[in-house]
Amino acid sequence: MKKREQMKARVDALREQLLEPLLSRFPRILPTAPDSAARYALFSALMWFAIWILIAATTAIKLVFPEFIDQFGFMSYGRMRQAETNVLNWGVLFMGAVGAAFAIVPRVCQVRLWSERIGAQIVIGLNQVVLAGTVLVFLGRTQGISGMEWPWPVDIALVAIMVGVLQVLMATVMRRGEERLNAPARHLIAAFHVLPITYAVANFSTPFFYGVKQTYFSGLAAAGFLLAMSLVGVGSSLFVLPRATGNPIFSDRLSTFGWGLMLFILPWLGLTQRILGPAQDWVETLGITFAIAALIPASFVVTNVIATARGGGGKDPAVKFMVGATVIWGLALAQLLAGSFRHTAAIVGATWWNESIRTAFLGAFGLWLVGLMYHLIPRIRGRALRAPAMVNLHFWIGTVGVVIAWLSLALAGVVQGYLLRVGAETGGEVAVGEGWLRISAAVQPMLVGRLAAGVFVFTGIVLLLYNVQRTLAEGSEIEPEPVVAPREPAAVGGRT
Amino acid sequence: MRNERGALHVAVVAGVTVAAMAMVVLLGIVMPLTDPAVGSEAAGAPLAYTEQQVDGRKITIREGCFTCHTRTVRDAVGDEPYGPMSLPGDYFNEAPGLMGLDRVGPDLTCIGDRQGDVDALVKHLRNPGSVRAGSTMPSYAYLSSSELRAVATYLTALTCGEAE
Repeated sequence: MKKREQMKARVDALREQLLEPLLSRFPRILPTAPDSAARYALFSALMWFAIWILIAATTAIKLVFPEFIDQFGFMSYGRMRQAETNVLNWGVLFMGAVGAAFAIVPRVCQVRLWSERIGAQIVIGLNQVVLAGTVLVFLGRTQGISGMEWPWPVDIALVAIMVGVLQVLMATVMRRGEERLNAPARHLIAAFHVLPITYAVANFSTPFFYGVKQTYFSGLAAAGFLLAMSLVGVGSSLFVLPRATGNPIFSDRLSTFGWGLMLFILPWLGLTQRILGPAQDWVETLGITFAIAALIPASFVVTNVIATARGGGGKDPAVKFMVGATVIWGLALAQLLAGSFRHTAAIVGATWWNESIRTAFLGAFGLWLVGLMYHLIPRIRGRALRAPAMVNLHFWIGTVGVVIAWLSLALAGVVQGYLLRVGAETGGEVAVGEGWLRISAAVQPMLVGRLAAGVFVFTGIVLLLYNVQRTLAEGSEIEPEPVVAPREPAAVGGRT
Repeated sequence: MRNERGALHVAVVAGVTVAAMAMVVLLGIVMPLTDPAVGSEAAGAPLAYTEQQVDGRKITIREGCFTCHTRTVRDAVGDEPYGPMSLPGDYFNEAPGLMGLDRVGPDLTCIGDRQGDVDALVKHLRNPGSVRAGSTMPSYAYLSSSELRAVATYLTALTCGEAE
């Protein structure tokens, strides 16, 4: 035992003498200050937000005006659409989730992040991975599967990043000062277990399968991402709401059940992607069954979040974002179920309806992330928000934008599906050839509505970037929130 | 499950998560995969491509055609004009299957039966608006003539084997 102590002292001394002077020469890429890794991730997510909204705006314009910048291959709709999805999924939402985990898990566990240096390196690596994948998709190097476009070298790097995040989080949790592992930590840790497993299984299996068999894997990848981001969003809500409103979490038991049921039900939703498709009927029935069951965790989570937020709407700008995002998320699960029954899927399947569900989910994840940013950035950087009134404005135009885009695409899906069905029943030519022009003309107003909604979302992100920039430049100094704080009874625990 | 103070263990949290993922991989992927309905005895007719058509297929993947065009005819009334319902065997050796998720343009499963003329397809790809006024399909004029030809011959190979 004594020998071990001596060894440990020796290693520490060597580390102090040799390694530390070397590492501290690079304070910007190897920072040690608290919250450095979280700060890197949140600001990287902000940067990718700005890039994403430009790509998304271009694709939305191209759908209404197809001649808009069609001279270059890398600006063609097919490539930009894939780049848009991937920048949003990995550059914005996953990056933001990493930032959320690096900031929230240490706070709720009352321990410093295991290693700020390694965390910061992981964030820098993730930026490079997203950049590489996006450039490759723009160059046309795609796997050709919706939701898993990136080629395998990028996938390997991304899985390595995910495992790195998981390692940092688990090492942090294992050293926690709080004995309780409370709701936000539970959700975030689960999210970072789900993502590497589903992503690696799906992406590394596809080369060995073809046709229908590949669709099981692409469904798993999509559902795994949905589940992981839902867990991150709900975890952020359960972290932000008690701190912002002063209420304890409404019910810890409800959050535990919601968490576990989400884990066991949401990963199956990938099987609902191709109802009435070439896959076996029993697989589709399995998917529909779990889509029905998904309403149970959805109702648990929405109840818990709304009840935790009660009376707190005006206390912190982040509260509205969290509640709005949770409600949109729950309704999106209901919409997914509505379109999954075979009778409804016969009409809305393989139409804009799918895009509308995706818009709702990604809008909810985006609102969760934005709310978390408004809550965390002032506390991490030690600057008061420069324009709190602008946050309220951002909430309203952001939510209205997401809801308009969501509803107009859902309407477009229903119109498209009914036109196809009526055309097939009456023998009218709408499915093929000249006939399709009637469908594109019919959904055009809805696509214009989506473009208008995009203007709202765009303005919201400009407000966010402006507000953060002003806050950093001239916000009044406040005490940065320490990671390991004196006990805050409202922040942890709750009724069980 | 819980320690003496009633708190969940980290190992329980991680274990529940991994168990949920293992269950979905086993029942949602391994079981459907090993089902004979999608195995070698599955119904359907795989397509055969020439070398030029294989090149064309690669270009359609590169340009992301699957983001707007599906290649799957579902078991629904609205899909009947696109041809016979797609079967698992139709996608043998199609990696990726290019089934797509939603239709911004028409389904392409049986496009070869509807339009077998390579020159007309090339003209359409080069400037869709000139062939169908009001089309929302973007122009692919930036592709070279040989690339456009390869794509067009690939499209003519997408037939459903119906004697018409």
